Amino acid sequence: MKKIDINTFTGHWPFRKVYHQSPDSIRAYMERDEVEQSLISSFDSIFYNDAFEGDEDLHAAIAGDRRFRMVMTVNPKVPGWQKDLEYECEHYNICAVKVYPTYHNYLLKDPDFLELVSVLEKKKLPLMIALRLEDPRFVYLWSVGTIDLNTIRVLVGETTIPIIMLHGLTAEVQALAPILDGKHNFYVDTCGLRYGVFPVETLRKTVSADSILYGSSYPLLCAKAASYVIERADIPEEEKEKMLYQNAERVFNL
Amino acid sequence: MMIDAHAHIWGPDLDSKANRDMIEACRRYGIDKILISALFGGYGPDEENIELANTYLAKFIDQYPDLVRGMVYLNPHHKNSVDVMKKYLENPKMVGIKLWIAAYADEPCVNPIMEEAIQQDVPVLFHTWHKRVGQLEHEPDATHVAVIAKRYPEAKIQMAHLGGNYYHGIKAIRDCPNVWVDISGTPDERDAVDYTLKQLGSERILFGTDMPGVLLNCVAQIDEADATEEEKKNMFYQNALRLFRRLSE
Amino acid sequence: MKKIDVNVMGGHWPFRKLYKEGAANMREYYAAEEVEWGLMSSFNSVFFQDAFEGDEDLNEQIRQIGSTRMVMTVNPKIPGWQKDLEYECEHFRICAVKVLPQYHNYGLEDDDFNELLAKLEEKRLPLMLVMRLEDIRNSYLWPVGSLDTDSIRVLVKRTSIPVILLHALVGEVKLLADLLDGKHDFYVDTSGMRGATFPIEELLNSVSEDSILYGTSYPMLSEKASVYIIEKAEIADGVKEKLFYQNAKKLFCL
Repeated sequence: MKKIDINTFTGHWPFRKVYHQSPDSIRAYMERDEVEQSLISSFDSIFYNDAFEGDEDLHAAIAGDRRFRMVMTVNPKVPGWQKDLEYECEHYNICAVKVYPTYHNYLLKDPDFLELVSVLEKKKLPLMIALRLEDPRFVYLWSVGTIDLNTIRVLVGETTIPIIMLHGLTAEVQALAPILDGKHNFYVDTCGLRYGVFPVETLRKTVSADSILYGSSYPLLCAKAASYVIERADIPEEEKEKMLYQNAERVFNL
Repeated sequence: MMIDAHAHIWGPDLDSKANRDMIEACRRYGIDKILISALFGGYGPDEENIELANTYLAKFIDQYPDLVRGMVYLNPHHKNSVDVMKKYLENPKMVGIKLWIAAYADEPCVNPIMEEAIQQDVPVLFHTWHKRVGQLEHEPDATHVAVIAKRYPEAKIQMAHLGGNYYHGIKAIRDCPNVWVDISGTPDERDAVDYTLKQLGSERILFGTDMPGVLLNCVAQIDEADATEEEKKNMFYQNALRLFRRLSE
Repeated sequence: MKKIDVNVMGGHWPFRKLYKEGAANMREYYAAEEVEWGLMSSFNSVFFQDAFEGDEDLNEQIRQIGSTRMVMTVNPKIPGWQKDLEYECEHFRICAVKVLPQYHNYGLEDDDFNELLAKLEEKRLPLMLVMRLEDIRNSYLWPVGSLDTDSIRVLVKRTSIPVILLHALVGEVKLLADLLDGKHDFYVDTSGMRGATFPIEELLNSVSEDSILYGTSYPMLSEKASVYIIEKAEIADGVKEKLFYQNAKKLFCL
């Protein structure tokens, strides 16, 4: 089935060898799994002091390939992101901004983060919030915390831009079900929906089909794990189409 | 064909939604056999809970005799653990032994169980995890499994969850040819199966899910691995048929 | 003046973009500074859970550079390094083993580290001990402390293999000067010798000229910083030759 993957990466992951991290590997995955478009960000930009330098490399790696749309990584605690954001809007045609509060060590009520949110509101750019990148039990050298779901609830209530929560586990998504109702501008991807035998069928009882987006976290995580939970679910075909690509087209104006 | 080498029931309500989902999942995803252990009574179950767990497991097998096979659950600290093992292994649909986190895998109290398992030619499944956060008391990791595997080279050992963290687990047991690993319950990192294939080859890897906790990422990990069709068959069922003698009887 | 650099790095540094990463840049550096041999380890092997996978890639990079001997990185807390060490001795011709206890979270009294030490003694392989990789004040996401000089002192006294301390500051080298006397099998490289105007002249008052090795930590740190402190020092050319070249040639049997 046709898909848009809203959560892919390239660049270097520091803590293990990722076998399929090159842009060509991502392209091969997209062809194999009928992914027409992917929203891609850089591993390097998470870990570099200057995230923009990771984004420069990302842009060079995907330049001219219309199957990719770039997602900018911002750490609002490092000065200068405002000008970089202007630049990336103008030159890299970014379709969203991604933040990693647990890796960059700030809360969602931090004034620098709220400044970023207000800039994104002016630009009408969606915000992706990564809850985690890997299972905390797997972490090798450096443990990161978690985000309090209540702070996400507050943020969604206070902002007008789309908020996309990435890598939320099934239970975390369930906890936020009242605002995943298709009315709030709030969405989750599927890369963390690994617990439970039928996670999407279970979530569908409380979460709107309009609020779930296919996102794999490939090549860090297994892409088929994120797609099977939709493709193999016992739900109507039109709901699968929404989750696999139509919702993404709408949220990101693709 | 698919054989799920690692799944559970968690309580005496055999008709629970979790159990019904598990059976439905086997139908929907083409799982032909599912090897289940019953984990009753928390991390250190008493003798009564062990008895209950295995009794209810036998009932569950009777409900789905073509699909379900059993792994006898034991607490190695119990003096009667070998007797319990012998009693339940009289049922030919009980195909192996399951040890969880009541004891490290290499504690002396595990020895009699290993010796009886060798006698009866049934594999012993050890839970393993090496966690950055949340390691439980007496929770075994792969280094414990390596010790018991070398102590009993004739024993057949199934190490769960790729050792928990495969970067800690796989190399710990790579030189133990009597250890097979299952992929159940592992977080769906893209490269876990490919890394394990590189270290162990395809003949020591078993498909398992940890249902009702986890399912699809385990199917997806093998489907997505850079493996040949023959290697995938090994992982999905051929290795299980070779390891569990009772599956072919 | 020809040189042996005992501390060059391959692979990818996660926390900023290194402009001189890669084989071509390393070849240029060797040519520009008359580096006859470089002893290289991998950044990836510091951060990868399976250091061996970083070393496999490093072996390929070294092939492209030439004139480079490999230094294996070991985290003795991860099972399986014993077999990897055998493999790297046989196939990668490693000339030393590098450890980073503070990154991998163990002390020099740790049982697993002692097992490694015994294995190196058996193989007569030198041990490189990394004090730090970067100035802790500049750490971006993950501050890592430095090693305690007292524990290094104990280690040097109890082992029979050469121990090379990398990236130690002038003050730390002074604290260990009595062991850097040309009689103990203990050495320091020059990559951390900041914090004094004429560090080499100052150190040679208490440290033997046989105990200092040219090592840069390139491309992470500036190669010129290490070149200048020897080249511009007012010391005899014979001493400079020892520091730049002869001591390493003898120690690593190059």
